Order: sequence, then structure tokens, then C-alpha cells
Amino acid sequence: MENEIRDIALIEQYLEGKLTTEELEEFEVRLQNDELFKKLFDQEETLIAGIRYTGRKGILDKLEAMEEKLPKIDLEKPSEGKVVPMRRRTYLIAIAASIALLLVTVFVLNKPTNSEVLFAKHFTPYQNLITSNTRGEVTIKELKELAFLAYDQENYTEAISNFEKLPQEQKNEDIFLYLGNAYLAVGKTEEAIQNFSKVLEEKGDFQNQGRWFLALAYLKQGETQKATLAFEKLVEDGSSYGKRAAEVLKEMR
Amino acid sequence: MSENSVIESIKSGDEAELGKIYQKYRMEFISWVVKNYSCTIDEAKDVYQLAIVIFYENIISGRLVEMTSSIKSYLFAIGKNKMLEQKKLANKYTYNLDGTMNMIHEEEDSKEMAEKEEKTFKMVENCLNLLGDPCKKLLELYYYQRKSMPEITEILGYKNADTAKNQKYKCMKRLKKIFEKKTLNVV
Repeated sequence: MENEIRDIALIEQYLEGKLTTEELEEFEVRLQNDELFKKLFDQEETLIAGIRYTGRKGILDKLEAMEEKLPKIDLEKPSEGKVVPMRRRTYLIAIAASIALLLVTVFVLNKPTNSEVLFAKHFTPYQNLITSNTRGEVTIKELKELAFLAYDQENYTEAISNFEKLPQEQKNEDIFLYLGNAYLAVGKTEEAIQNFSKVLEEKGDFQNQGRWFLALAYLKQGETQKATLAFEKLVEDGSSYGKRAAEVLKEMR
Repeated sequence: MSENSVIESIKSGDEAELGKIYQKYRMEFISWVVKNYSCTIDEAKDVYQLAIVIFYENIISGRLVEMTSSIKSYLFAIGKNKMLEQKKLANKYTYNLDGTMNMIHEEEDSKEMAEKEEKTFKMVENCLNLLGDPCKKLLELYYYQRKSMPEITEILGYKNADTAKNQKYKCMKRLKKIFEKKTLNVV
């Protein structure tokens, strides 16, 4: 009973992305080896996703009820549906993934503190961002928000385009890290490597993350020698990525 | 009302304010989507409702505190992202932040999975209705609206945050029981 309460609290911390790298590793090992724990985890995850589904559905139902009372929209030339149709069902379900996505989201959202200050300081107004259809003008701060929004939604192409529009002096190491990841996600390895290298050049708080992803990018590119060097450095430094780096090295041999 | 006070009142639970926002940009958004992404009005409506719901979720969870762009461009940005996502289906591989590769299932597979998932969620929804308030409300406040325990304590009038926390644990346990029973009946 005591244990179960503790495990549930642990699972919630995991789902909220609040575990440290070490705790995370421990958690994942346990998921693989402890059948009862895995069962508890699956159950919690399903119920939480179901609660979110119910919550979202409640709001959507209210919107739909309002929609039905509004005057019908009659556009001059209604076009045929060509794009993959987006039915309501699809995005009601999309919420399930949001649990898994949360890890990424929290990582992104915890960061901006420092950069928010930077943005306020370097406020450069009016840069056009949104396509010709919305005539709004967008500031740098918004640009960054939109970039992270896209990143959160796994829309990496959009995130890249927004990050790249940031002026040079706004690109600090966390931007390089996310930009690199976005490039890696869409398969542009060369650009990813450039950005991760910049993270390392900054010699800031993201050294280990930068090196880890750099190593992976090299790996993807087939530059195994460079990848090996980077992984070895991670192991040597005893960083939080050391264990995983050692694993990759083992698999590379 | 300024856009930031709109955010504040939505955050404090004023759903009528969300309805006003919905009506304000409805026409423009829907005709924009229909025109630019060649879809039907009904499909565009779906996208609009999704954009509004994401906007709402970001406000109540405290992710969106202050409007730095306009509400309008925020909604349009979400809409644009969602439409691009739809087109992105051809892209089968994505990377997680930790560098592991994520394989997105073939369309057919994922359709089947989505149907299965929805069935499960609908069952959770039924169980929540069986559970009733205050448990249903409490769980939604915590997991969907992502309110903190002190906030929930205030909204539902508990003695203190510990009581609320304890209550949440009990509610979750009851939900689990109902859900287990239902699963057994179905199988």
C-alpha cells in the first residue's frame, strides 16, 4: 500500500517530466524488469489520458453546441476536401500522445526564463512572420514563442523556419540545441551538426546535451570516428549521458 | 477588454469569454483555412475548434500567461501547424529529444490503433460519469486543467492541500476499480 502510493507519485513525476536523468534511467529499467510496476504504469497512463480526453471533449461539445446556433457559414466557392480530412475524432485522440509529448514540452518550457529576459532586453519590433494571409506583424519574442509552439507540436519544419528568422545575437545555446534537434528530426544532419557544434562553442549549461546529440548526428551521418570520440568524452566526463554513451559505444563495436 | 484580461478571465473559469473569442475569429479563420488548404467548411470548423481548445488548454494550464502576439495570430499559428501536420504524413520517422528514433505507424495501422484507443478513452469517460462529482471534477481539474493542489483546494473548498491530495488519490483509486470492473465485463 505504502509502496503503491510511492510508485504512483513516481509515475506522475515521470509523466510530468520531473525526473532527473538518473531517476529517468532507473525508471525505465524498472519498467522493463518489473512486471507489476509496468502494469501499474499502463493503468495510470490510460486513466490520465482518458481523463484528459473527457476534459477536452467537454469543451469541444460546448463549442459545437454554440456552433450549431450560429449563422451558417456560406462561402462563395466551397472547395472539395483534398487534404487528409481532419475529423474531430482524430484530434480528440491526439490528446493521448500529449502525455508522451509532455517530456519534451516540459524541457522546452522550463528553459525560457533566462531567454525571456534576453528577449525583453533586445526587443526589436515588427518582423513579418506569418504568411500573407494574416497581416499581423510579429516581434522577436513572438517569433521565438511560435518557434517553440511549432517545436512542441512536432512541426519541426515550421520551428526551424522560425528559429532561423531570429537575429544572430538572439541565438544562444538553447536555441542552437533545439534548432539542431529540429534539423535532426527532419533529417538535415549537416545543419544539425553545425548547430550542436555551436552549443559546444558556447561552453554553457548544455555541454552534455550538445555533445550527446552531436555524437548521434555524427552517427547518423556515418562519421563513426567522430561519433566515437564524442561518446567517449561523455563517458570520461562522467556526465549524465555517460551510461547511455557507453551503451552506444558497446553497440558500435 | 484587453487581450491579457481576456486571458485572465478565461483562466479563472469564464467559459463565456472563450465563447466570445470563438465567435470573434470564426468567420475569418474558417474562410482562411478553406481557401488555403482546400478543405471543406466542416473540416475547417474542426480545425478551428481544435485551435480554440488548444488555446484554452494552454491558458488554464498556465503555459500561456500573457499574450505577446495577438490572440488572432496565435490561433492562426496553431491552425497552420495543424494543417501542415496533416500533410506531413509522408514523413515516417521522427526523432525524440533523447535521440531515439520514433517510428510512426503506417496509416492503416495507426487508424486501427486510434480506434482502439478511442474505445478505451470512451470507457474511461463512462467510468468518470459513474464516479460523479466531486471526484470527476477533481480529477479533471488536476489532470486536464493541470491545476495545482492549492488551487484545487480553493476551487472545491477543501480544508487544505493535503486533504485535496488525499482525496485525489482516493478518487483515482475508485476510478481504477470501476474501470477494472468494466474491462472485465467487456472481455
